[in-house]
Amino acid sequence: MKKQTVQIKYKQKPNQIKGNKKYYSSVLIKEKKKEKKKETTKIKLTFQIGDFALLKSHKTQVIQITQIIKEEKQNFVSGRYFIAFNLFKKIYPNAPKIKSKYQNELIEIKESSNLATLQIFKTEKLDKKCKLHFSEKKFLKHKNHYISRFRFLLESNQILLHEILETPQQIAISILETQKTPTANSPRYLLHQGIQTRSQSNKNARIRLFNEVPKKTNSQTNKNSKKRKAKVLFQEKNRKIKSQNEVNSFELAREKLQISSIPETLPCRESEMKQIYSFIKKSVGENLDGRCLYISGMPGTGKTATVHEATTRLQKKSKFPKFLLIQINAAKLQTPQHLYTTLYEKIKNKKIPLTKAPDALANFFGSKNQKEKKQYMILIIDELDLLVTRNQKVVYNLFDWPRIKNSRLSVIGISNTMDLPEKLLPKIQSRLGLVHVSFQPYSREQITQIVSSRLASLNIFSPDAIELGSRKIAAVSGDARRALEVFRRAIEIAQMDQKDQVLMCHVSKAIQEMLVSGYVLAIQNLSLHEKIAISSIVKELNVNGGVFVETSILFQRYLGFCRLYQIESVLIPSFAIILNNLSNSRLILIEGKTFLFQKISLNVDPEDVQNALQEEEPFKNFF
Amino acid sequence: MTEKIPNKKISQKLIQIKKSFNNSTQVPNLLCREEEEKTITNFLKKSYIRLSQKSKKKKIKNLSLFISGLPGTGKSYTVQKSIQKFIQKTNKNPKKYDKKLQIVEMNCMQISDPRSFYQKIFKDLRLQNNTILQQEETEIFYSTDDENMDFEDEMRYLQMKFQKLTTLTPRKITILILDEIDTLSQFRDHQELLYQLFDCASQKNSKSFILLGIANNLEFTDKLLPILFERGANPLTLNFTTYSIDQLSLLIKQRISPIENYEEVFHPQAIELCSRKISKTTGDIRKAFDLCRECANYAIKQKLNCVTFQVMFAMINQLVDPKKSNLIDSLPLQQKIVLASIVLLSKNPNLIFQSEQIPFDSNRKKTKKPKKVEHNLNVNILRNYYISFCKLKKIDSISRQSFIELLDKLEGSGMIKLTQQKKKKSNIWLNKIDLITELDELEFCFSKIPFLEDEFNSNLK
Repeated sequence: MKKQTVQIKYKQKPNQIKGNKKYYSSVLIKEKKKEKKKETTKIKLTFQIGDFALLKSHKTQVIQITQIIKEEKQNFVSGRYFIAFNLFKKIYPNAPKIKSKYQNELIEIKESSNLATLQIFKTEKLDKKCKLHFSEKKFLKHKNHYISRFRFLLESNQILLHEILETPQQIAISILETQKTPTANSPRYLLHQGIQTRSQSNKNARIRLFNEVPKKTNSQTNKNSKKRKAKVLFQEKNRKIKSQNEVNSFELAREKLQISSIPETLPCRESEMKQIYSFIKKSVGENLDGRCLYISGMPGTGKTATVHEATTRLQKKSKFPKFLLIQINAAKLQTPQHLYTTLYEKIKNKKIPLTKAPDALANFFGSKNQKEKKQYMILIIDELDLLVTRNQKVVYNLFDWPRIKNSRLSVIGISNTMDLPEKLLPKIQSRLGLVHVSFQPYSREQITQIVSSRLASLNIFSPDAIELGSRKIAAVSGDARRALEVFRRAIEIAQMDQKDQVLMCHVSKAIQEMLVSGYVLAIQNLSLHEKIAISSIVKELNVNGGVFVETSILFQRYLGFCRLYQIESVLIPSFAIILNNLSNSRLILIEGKTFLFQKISLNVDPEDVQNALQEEEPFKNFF
Repeated sequence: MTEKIPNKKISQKLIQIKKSFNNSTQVPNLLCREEEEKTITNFLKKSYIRLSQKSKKKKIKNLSLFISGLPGTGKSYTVQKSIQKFIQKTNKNPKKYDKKLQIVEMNCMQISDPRSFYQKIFKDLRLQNNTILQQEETEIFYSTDDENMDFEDEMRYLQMKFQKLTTLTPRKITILILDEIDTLSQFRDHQELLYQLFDCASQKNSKSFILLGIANNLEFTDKLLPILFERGANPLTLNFTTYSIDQLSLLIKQRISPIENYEEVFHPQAIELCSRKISKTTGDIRKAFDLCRECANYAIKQKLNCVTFQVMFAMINQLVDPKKSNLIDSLPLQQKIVLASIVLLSKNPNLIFQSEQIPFDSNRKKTKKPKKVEHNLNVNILRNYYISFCKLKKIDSISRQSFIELLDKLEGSGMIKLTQQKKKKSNIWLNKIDLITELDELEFCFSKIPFLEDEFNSNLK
């Protein structure tokens, strides 16, 4: 990633271009013009393996490069670039295809450090047939380097997973060791699963992909002497098939619980749906203009999804007059003023400078020209509260346009804050109107309904498990997104346990991971003196009360602790380093500049510290 | 049951009523604003006569009028109507009013910088008199701007042009209407823009130019007028008072009067209630119309025969002053607990001190008695109290991170307000917490919730 150079080599007239990533596309185009006349030119692009992340962020440039390659009919692209490209294609399926000269050959990729060798066979389909080779000696020598390297590979793209599954177990396990708490969706966790499935099967056998259904084998053997063995074999195989099917159903359930997969009908939001539906229907169908609607609600209560559903339903209606639907997310605008330009662009498909946009829009909405029949427009603004500036001009104009006669515009504003209308100026309030729709957080029953409707056909959750999860979520936030995440994680845990069903214990484990802080783990993994320091802060606060401890007093207590348990204490400079480490990991907060009089306060629950250190030797009696 | 099913006629009437309360429906004649209209037309007439120099009597001092009033009191609408009337008058008497009028309307909220303000005026005027232009005017309109000019110079140049324009004696008289004029003073470096506008419309300078400014806030007049007085360019002022109860009900009746026998469908008591409620709170006519429209909507949905007193009452409760009790009921359990502990802490300041003293060990004996009572409730104190409260009720407490998240959500729903302390901005745990909602209302709500009952009932005693 650090090297962002691109080398382009021509066989006939070698040219090297090194430079900033911003320039290379333009340079390439220039080169192309120069070299057009020559018939045989060969471009060799060398990339680092990590470069596809770079490509990801510079989509247009890559497309340009590919176009050049296409136009010049270059089917000769070597090694790393090809891989980077294939990965890139995974990310952007619309990118043009390129062919490699080495299509049926072996491609060797060497990392710049020459530590690892990645061999890819028949690279037509990267994700299925690729292999990583490592020598274990080298691995042990440069363990840390490998681990960091793999982490990067894993995080940057999941496709590489299958390659890494081929590596010796040792590496994978050591990766896992460094990462104790895998998060829900991280590739590291997926890797963990992969290894488990792998360890079941023979070590020498090739790894099976999750979706691959094993072929049925002829298990009928006629020989009597081997009947028993055959039976056992058959049962084992049957079991394998079963477990494979379960894996599939688990995968399916996890896909269905993904946030991005929006169901066709939203359960539990019928009344709000009706309100929004009738609002749009009336403002378009019955020619009532000058209407605004404000929708508020906590995050994850389905505001945006409900509005979407209402609009799509109306758009599908054949008899209903057509209307223009404009959606703008205020969080994506550079400044609130950019609302004008984006709105104008969406209405007229023309770009307009920022200074002229407000006038143009005012003219557009206010034109009294009856002849040109305007389309009905529904403007949906997400995160409306971000548009509120100091003088609130943008919001004023937004709610003033619908009031102009014949503007045929209706505005729907969506935001999290419930009291936004009260914060606005009175003149805007009176234009916004009285009708507000507020989305309440989901209750326990509603969350169970949502989850069970998503998992309609799949019967992998025990009812108790769903009940527990929805209870917990409803008690804290009533956020549907959170609920889906918890259940997804629960499936993963159940998969790890190799159970047929997701039980209560899995769900509670998932909730623990989600809701309970990771501070306990962090404290347990501190060094001895750091532990002593943080526990003496707790003790000090416990005895004397208050929020702060001064460093000098804390040091005294620290020395006392060390004397008591006969541990060699550190001096003030290293104690300062210890405190600094603790504050860098945000376990404590430090205020003030002079060291001895700094005020230190805890940023974790004192109970967490206590729980974390209770079972360790010197701290057992301390609390 | 037969009574409850509404006739088609009635439902049609209700729909008609709903449409008549729409924002953009025009009403033929103005009600309740006759006096204001008269003053505006009088002002226009006098200034017209002054400009056309038919009489040399100086009845009017300056050719500018400043109109102020709260939102929804019909300012813009009255101005529009009276100007229409005045134009009709001039058309009838071409001998007396020999010069033609041209009107430039502008909403100052749509202007992003002072330069575009002038440019817009020029553009408007140019479009209106494209065919007949005097030589001087063409010079002003079509003189090309120097591209290399910087912002300040360009402003000065535009102002020059504008002043020249106002001192000319053209065939037409310009009426400039500026809505929301107070926003012009928000350009920090160009506050004199507003004064120059009024200067141009003053007696000495103006020969073809009348200014009408409209604004909401009355405070603005206090700031602006003394300065203008010094300059000798003080405008006439006209204040729009808020509508009284009778006026509001008259206006509502006027809207629905075209429908026959509207009293059958829309009860007069309901109108009375609506106008009383609105005049008490804001006097905003837009809100009154909104309310009536929603009532009609409600009646159509519920298939009622008519909009009664009860319907209006229900809608007022729902829309104008919604009670927070519903909101509190729908909050998740943990948020309820946190809110309850905030209420308890803010009721008994002694508790604040205690929970500050005892971080988490509730079994420890209380050795010191509180000497000073701090009234500041910060996040740390709340957290300590919350944990002890959870222990008392035997409920799982939530982790620190989600606790902060939860407070953010409560702030979003408008229950509490978090303010940073001046010195310690980085520390979230010292942020001050204030309740925004009414204490009594919250207590009443909590006393109904089963497991919080004891605390609140005992406190009430």
